Amino acid sequence: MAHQDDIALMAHLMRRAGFGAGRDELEERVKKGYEATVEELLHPETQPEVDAYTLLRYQPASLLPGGQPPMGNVNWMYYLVNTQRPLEEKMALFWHHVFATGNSKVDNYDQLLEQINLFREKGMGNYRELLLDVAKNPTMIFWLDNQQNHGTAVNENWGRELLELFSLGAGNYTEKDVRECSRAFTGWTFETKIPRAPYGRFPWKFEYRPEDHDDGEKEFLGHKGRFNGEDIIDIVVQQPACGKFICRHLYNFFVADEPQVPAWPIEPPQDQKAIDTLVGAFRDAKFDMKPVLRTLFNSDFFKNARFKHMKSPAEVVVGTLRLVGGHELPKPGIGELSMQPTYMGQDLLNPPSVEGWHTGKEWINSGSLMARINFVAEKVGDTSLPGVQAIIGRLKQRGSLSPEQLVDGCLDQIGPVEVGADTKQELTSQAKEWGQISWDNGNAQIADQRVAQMLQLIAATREYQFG
Amino acid sequence: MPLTTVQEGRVYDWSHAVGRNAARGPGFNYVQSMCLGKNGFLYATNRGNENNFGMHVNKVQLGRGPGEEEHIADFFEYGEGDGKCTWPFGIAVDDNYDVYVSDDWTNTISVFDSAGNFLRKWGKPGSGDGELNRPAGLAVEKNGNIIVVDSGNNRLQVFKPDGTFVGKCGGTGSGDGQFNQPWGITLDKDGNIYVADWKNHRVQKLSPEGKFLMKFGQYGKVEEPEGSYAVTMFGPYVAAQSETAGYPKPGTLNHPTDVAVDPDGDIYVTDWGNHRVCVFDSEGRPICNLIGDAQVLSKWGQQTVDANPDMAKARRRVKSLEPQYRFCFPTAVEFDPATDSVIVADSQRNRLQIYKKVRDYSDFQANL
Amino acid sequence: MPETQTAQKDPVIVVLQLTGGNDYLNTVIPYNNPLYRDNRKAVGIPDNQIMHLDKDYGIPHYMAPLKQFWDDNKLAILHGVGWKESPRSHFRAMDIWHTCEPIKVGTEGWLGRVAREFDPKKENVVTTVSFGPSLPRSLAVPGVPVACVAGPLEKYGFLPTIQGEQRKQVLERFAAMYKPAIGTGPVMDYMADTGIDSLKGEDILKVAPQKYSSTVQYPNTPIARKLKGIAQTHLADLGSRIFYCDHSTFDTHAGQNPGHQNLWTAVTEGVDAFMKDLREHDHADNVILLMFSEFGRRVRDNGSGTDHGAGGVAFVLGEKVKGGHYGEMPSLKPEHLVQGDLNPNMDFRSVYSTILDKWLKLNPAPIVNGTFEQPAFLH
Repeated sequence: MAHQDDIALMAHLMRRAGFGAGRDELEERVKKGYEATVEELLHPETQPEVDAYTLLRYQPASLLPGGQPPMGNVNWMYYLVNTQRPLEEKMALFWHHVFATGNSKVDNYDQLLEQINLFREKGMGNYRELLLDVAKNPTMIFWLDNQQNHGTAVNENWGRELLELFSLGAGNYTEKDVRECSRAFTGWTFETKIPRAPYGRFPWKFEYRPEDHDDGEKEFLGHKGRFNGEDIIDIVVQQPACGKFICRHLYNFFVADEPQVPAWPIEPPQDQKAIDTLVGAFRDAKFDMKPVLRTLFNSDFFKNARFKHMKSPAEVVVGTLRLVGGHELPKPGIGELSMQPTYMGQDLLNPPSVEGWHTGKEWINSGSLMARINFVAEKVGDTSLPGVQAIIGRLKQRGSLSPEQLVDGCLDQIGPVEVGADTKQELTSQAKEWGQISWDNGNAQIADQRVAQMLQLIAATREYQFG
Repeated sequence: MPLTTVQEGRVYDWSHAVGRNAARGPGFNYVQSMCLGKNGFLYATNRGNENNFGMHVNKVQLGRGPGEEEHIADFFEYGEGDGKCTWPFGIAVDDNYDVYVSDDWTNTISVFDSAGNFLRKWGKPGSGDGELNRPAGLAVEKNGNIIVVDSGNNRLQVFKPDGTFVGKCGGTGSGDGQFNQPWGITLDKDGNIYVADWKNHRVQKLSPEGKFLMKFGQYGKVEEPEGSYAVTMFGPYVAAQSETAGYPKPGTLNHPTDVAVDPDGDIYVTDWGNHRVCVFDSEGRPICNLIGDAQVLSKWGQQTVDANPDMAKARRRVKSLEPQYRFCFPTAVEFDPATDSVIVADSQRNRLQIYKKVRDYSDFQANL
Repeated sequence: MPETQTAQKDPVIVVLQLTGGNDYLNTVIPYNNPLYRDNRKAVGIPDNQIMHLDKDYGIPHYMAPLKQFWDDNKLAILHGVGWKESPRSHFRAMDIWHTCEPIKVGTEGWLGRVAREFDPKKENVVTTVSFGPSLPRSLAVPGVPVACVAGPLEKYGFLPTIQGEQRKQVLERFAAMYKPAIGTGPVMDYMADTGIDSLKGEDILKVAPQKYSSTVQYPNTPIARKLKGIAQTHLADLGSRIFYCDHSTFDTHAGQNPGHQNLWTAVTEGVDAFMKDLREHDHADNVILLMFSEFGRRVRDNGSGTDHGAGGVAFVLGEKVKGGHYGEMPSLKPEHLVQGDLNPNMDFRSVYSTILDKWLKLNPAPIVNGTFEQPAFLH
């Protein structure tokens, strides 16, 4: 049997670089080794892709879901829950946080899914290429009004957010840079698309209109020239601020909660050395994300950051559904499941604004705390689900459990989760109320129930909200 | 693609489209399968969505030509209990005009009269004789028995109209006579059985007794051609250079969903994942492909556009409407001998596209 | 929690959101206008199914319960509501209604701002109670608590799947696990406060169905169940000031006639039961109910339903409402339509402004982001 700390570390890696893993998978991966697992995660092409055809057979409305939930959410949730390339999907979620684009304005989940697919395909590639693709992504163009950015009448929305939220961060450019940057992206638009009536939706297609582009000279971040959008991106990625900004995002998403993005110009990172290490990798790799991620996951600062990150609602829901299992074939009700992150304050494909979601402790308010605890508790308390049965099966092998063994066993199997002494004492007190539990002599059903209830109580702890 | 396809002595002439996106009433909502009744009636199962909206069977009088379609009735809508559905899938009509519909979530077959009144149902989940696991396509044999594509069990089962189990054939796998999540089914005039063997990317022909006779089709799909327009993330791709770029070579299939056979023995397969209908001869040799040619709006589609001036305006600004002509995940095909029509359920476009098989076609002078 | 005595007198607002875009023209029918018939060949309401409100307007028979409110002068009809550049997107339009930000993407909901005014120190965790699983953006302001009741009020709270004798014990454990502990850091402390607040909310709200008894029978529909929950909470005098619920989907692109009928039957029967219930308990005087939808629908039908439009209708009803028409229905003449839609002639923020100023006694400008004309539909 694998060493307990190896399991705990692997569980940490899989929670962060993916959406958690059951005990069988963790043990397999420990055998394979930590660094080998990191490599596998970094090479999604070695694992099969999600079978979209099966989704479309049962849920055809998830292909072109239009403007109303939940079919767009269903589509992504199916990928999130069933992917065998967890880091690929996690990176799509990461970029969705950074390039936050919302259905509230786009009114078109098809286009948002197409953008997510861009993140899926290019999210672990080169950041410069990704940024260029995002600049040409019609969904982004519409979201930030760049179709209204004309050579004769500049609209600065995209130009500003490109610098403030997508690459450099506030304070690293002037208002003049915003203006000049926006001028460089004039004429970047999309073709009129076939409207949704009467046959359903059609996608946009990027279009560059040279006649609407301001081809004059621009002065941007100390450079001078008749820049077009691509030139701007080349200048942007070379800025030292760019690496710092992206790497701080990576740190906040994968390692430990940082203050909210608007505070970054004021508050220094909690671990400057870690950011420096990541920035160095980013620069050396010429903006290729893979070496940065490799550095991150293999670093001590990552390995030592267990439970220093508040799970996002997406992580809560996807992690729970992957843990309890049974969603390989689409079922009715996947719509309601797909809206669970929304109920917890993270409406996937519809972030509150271009600034994305506030993370960390801001995921928690009285409503969202109740929603997340109740969702997880309902699932892990359902002894008919395969993942819960697997947990019970492992505990059952011991025949009977003392209160302490029940608590330790459940904490171990659902995580391993680390809880504070006070919490542990409460859990143990509850287990003591139940006394020794046993699967012998017709007590199996009660024993199953006790495990399920202990799992529920663990899911309700403060500690469990961290991942 | 030209409106008229001429290949190996066959002529297929695009006639018209019927439908529009509608959760009920005149239009369709993700057709999973369809069948022809008597007197020009067509029944389609609509899948709807997770708002429990849009799932139903609709009955449409097709008429003989463009603009003659009429919406007759909706039934088998979402709900619990008799006459209600969760996931409607396969559909077939027997000689008494009774309509059989499978529900691949509740694992039942429901029977309605031709007006949509519930008569009876049968079926329970499982893998034993008479038990069902995600039933898909349905067909009625000459003797009135019902063949059910028991998709999750990778077999066909035969039932009497009252639901009594009669027999079964098939099994899981990719060998002859085995299936992998089959979808649609049809019978030819001699009672031979054709099954769209979905995950095996082929069609199998079985004798009326269920013996393997023939298979055709092999997996094939193309990646998105450079510079093309992807109508969805999974195609079809409309390429600037050639109208058939983005479609794989003849004889290959990508998740075929349904089969139809015409009185001449020609076989039509909805090549779902490749967004086309492949025509094969009776030996399974590929003849030609239809890729969708809906250049003219359907009657109901025109109504929608007329009611929405902004949609009408946008349509006039579009560089090319070609993506709208094309099939997008066609799920079902029927051949109507009465009108010599190939009727294709263009699922993601919520319409039917109808082609005429023209038998008396005389060519024109080339120097027109 | 504020004193019960004052709580009873405090004005309360109930919002019922008609999600999906309610068809204005089939809700308040200009039955004498020939253009109505011309445009509504497939989905027009036949003359014999219209209940006349006056010589110009009627409501479909399936909204019959509203007729009594109209006759009693307690129903205000707000015509042509919307705003100038109304988008035809459900989300965007709803967001604008919720945040009062028609230009940029807003992040603060108008009712969230109201709640913050009412209870700046967050002393009452049930100042705002929303019935539905997700938090509508109109209630969302960071740091402003909202009790979201996803299911039946009786089941509101943590770990609802644990019931019976185990429940009390498990919730005591929960409370103990969330008690602030020294040295665990600000985030854990914050979570402790939040958990305890939620438990408090559960304890408070749990009382409502227990205290409740009524002779009023609510219909068995989702909206009636939500309204009953609101009545139970309001009648329990818990100091709740803002209630929110919604009914959907009014997105009647197809098969509109039966669909619209089912929707409005459920809504009007539910509202009728709700108001009866409040009156029976002498708790109706301090409540008004606002019904709105994100937009109206296209003037011309599509042969089976109607597609997304612009100008719509809102209703305010209650004991203190001054019944009647406010504003006027925008012209149906083709030359006055905008992209085939009624051109909104009453800004939705006008409706809010009256409610804020005359009912909730708050300065509307900072809440709705500007100063708007106030139709005088409140006494």
